[in-house]
Amino acid sequence: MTDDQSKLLIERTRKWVGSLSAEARKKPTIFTMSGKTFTPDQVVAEMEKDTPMGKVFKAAEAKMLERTLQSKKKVGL
Amino acid sequence: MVTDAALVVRPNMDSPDNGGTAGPYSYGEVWMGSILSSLAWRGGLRKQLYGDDAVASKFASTVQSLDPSFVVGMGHGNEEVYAGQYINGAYSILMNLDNADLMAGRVVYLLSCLTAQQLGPAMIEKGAVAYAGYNQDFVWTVSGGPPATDPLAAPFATSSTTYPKVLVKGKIVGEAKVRTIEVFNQQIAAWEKSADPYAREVVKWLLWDRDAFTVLGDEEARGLEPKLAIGLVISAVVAGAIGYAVYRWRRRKG
Repeated sequence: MTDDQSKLLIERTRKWVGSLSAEARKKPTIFTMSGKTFTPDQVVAEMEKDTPMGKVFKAAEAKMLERTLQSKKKVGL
Repeated sequence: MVTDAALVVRPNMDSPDNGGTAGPYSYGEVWMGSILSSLAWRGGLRKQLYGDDAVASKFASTVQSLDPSFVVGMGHGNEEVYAGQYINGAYSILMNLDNADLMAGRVVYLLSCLTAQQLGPAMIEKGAVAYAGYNQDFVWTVSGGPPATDPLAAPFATSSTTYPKVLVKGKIVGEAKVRTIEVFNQQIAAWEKSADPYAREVVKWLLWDRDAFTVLGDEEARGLEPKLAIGLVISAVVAGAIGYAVYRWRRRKG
């Protein structure tokens, strides 16, 4: 993943987090069966630090981006 | 020769760092409970290792004594390890690459992170009939309400319990696999239409979990034999008895 791709994925996630209230951003929202929980703010922080979980968050966001682009192609946008 | 029976592993205590009784296991506990309900409806031999019973010693001894054809486990995992209850300051390791042969002859489903990378293949190599699990972290969204009624967790509950519930009906592994992907896709399509501020996260992690879902081994195999559900039989008997009582009452009255 290039730096530009990484920045784009972080920016997309940050945009979503920015749409939440200050309270919601600090509430655990993402749970994993590896035993971890994350608030939306922590998700962005993990992505920025490029931790192992940050890489997972980026990969999932990339999957989401790909789906969005494919949907746009289907409707001819 | 294994017994036509199911074993469900259902830890309920996470480490304090991971939220204790309000951590990820609080959701898995509810989801495993729904599989137990399906098993109760079917009838037949079944056992759960719940809470402090979801530990290594009891897991190994129960697998050996019950000798179940179908094992469903929820718990934390990584590439090589499947863990159960957090107890005495650590997660109890139920399975790793050294004891993967415990699953020989069985159909296995692990709702756990990453075990499809090494532990699942090791089980198959050591004689498991079929294994299903996830080759990445299993991730879901929560709203913070009670796990049983959490709307953001509901699509993950439905999707992640489809595979074992189809097998409880006596269907083959291949059918359970196809149905699971269908259910993930239905949930994704439904949430893509939602205006909920968390909908994009729900869709994102459903896509992620669906793509991480992995089935190995014999897709023609069954976890449990097809059986007329005992719940259905009881319902039919009760309905028949009520109908007969109403018939008798009407005849006596008329």
